[in-house]
Formats: sequence, C-alpha cells, structure tokens
Amino acid sequence: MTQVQRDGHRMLVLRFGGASYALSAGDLAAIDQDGASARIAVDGPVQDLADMLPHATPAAEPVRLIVSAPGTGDGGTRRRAFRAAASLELVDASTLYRLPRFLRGAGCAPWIRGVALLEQPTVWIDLARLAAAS
Amino acid sequence: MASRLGHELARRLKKARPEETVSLVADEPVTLDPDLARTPTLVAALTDLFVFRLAGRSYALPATSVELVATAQAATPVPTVPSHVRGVVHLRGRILTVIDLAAVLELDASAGDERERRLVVIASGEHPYGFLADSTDGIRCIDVATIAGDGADDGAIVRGLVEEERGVVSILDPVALTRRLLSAGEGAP
Repeated sequence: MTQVQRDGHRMLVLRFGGASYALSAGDLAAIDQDGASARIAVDGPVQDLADMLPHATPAAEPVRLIVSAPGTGDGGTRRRAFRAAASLELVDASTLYRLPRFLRGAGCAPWIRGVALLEQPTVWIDLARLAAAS
Repeated sequence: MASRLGHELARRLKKARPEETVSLVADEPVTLDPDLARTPTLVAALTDLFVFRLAGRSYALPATSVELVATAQAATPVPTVPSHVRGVVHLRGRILTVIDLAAVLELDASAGDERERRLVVIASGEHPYGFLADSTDGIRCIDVATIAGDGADDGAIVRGLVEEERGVVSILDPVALTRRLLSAGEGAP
C-alpha cells in the first residue's frame, strides 16, 4: 500500500500557471522576496523551479523558497534558495502517498517524495533533497 | 455436437486458472490409455484476450493481465520520469502510474473520441500501471491456432497477430511491455 498518512500534514502548495506542486511546510526554512529586495543570504545560485518542474509557468511574482541542505563533505548545512513564480497556499493534506514503485523503477528522482491528495493528485517534492542533488 | 462442445468450453473457461489456456478433448468422458493420454485429439485451444483500440489500430492483452478498466481521467505530470510516462492518477484509493502506450509502440498520437477513452490497468505484480486506450472492444475468446507468430520470448512487445472482421489485432506481451517500460528508465535522472 502506498498510502503513508491520513492525518493532517501542513503543506505549502505552489500554484503555477500550468500545474501545482506541494512540499512539506516543515521542510522550509524561510520564504524571501526575489531579486534585489531579497533579505536572506543564501549559498550558491538561486535555482528556478520552472527549469525543473513541468508546466511550472509563472502565475505570480517570484519568491525565494529557502531550505537547509547538507553541504558537500564538511558535514555542515547550506542555505539554498529556489525561485518560484507561483501563488502560495498553506493547506492540510489529509492523504499522502509514496510514489508508485513503478515510477521509482522507471528512474524517477529521489526528490520526488510522492503524491499529496488535494483537490486532485499533486506531486509532493522535497526541496532539500533537490538542493543536495543539484 | 457443436452446441455441447460450446457448453463444455464455457464450463471449462469458468473453471480455468487465470493463466491457463483452455483445451477441449473430443467425445468426453473418455478413458484414454497411457499412450493416447499423451496425444489427445485437440478440438480447440482457446484463450481470452482483452481487445482495445489505440491510434486507429486494434491491440489485445491476455485478459488475465488486465486488472480493471475505468473512465479516463487526466494524469498529473511527474518530473524526471521518462517521456513515455504521462503521470499519475488517483484511482480507487491508490496512486497509479499512467503510461503513454502509443509512444511506447511508436504510434502517432491518438485522435479518438474523448468520451470513449478508457484507462486500462495492468496487473503487473509490484508494478501495476495503466494506459489510456482510445476505446475498448471487450474480451474475446480466441482460438490460439488462429494466432500468427512464433511466440518466442525474444523481448518483443508484440507477440502475435490474429485476423478479425475489423482487421488485424496485435497481441501484446504484458511481461515484455513492463520490462521495456522499466528498462527505459534505467538511464533517467
């Protein structure tokens, strides 16, 4: 059975123009403005989620989603930022599913955690893992 | 005689294990001596095939490999998967992968009537998945003698052909199909 949780799980939903994605709200260290008005210093370049997520077309002014990710080799953590031109919504997901084994077998990346059942199935992503992988 | 054989075939089809092909030996009950038992007179060997349409062609799968057929629904795309994966759907309390079978078979994009489109779920052990068929023609009882093809396990997805009134039906091997789908992702990110 792929279902992992039935109780409420606080999630941040990123609503892009062509698709929505969800991440666990607890995974997020901060949300900052993008561009020159950004206040939080981050390690490395800001990565645009539109380059990694299908149909992630702009739907709002871009913001930075900041996560703490393991550094390389020194055992410390790095503050990494992702740009998301999406409207943001906090929701309680009642049902979360692990990714179907078929997709893991087909080579799906480990930063795709599973599927949150919102008004429709929504891909549940892990930005810390994505930061570690990129 | 033909009617009695038909009834007997129907009875055996009901009793047969899912994976087995049903045979009928003439003039039962027959007490065969050991030599005859090794070479029974075969009247018919039948197999059930689930027939569907895709990109203007007819295809079939062993009926036992099809778990269910449901109304088609839009799949949610998933990042980093091979191009033949359309995405996932929520169906009967589980998340199911939907593949683009037309792409796997290197067919042109489907252009059927949306209302006739169906989600066909393949029962594939630990890896159940579904695909969208343009329409479904139900289950046909086919005489295996009418199937063209050597049936060799050479990894080919199309394992045989059968002539029907509406044209040629290509019979797919679900095991080879699953193997192909999973191996295609071995080089994926």
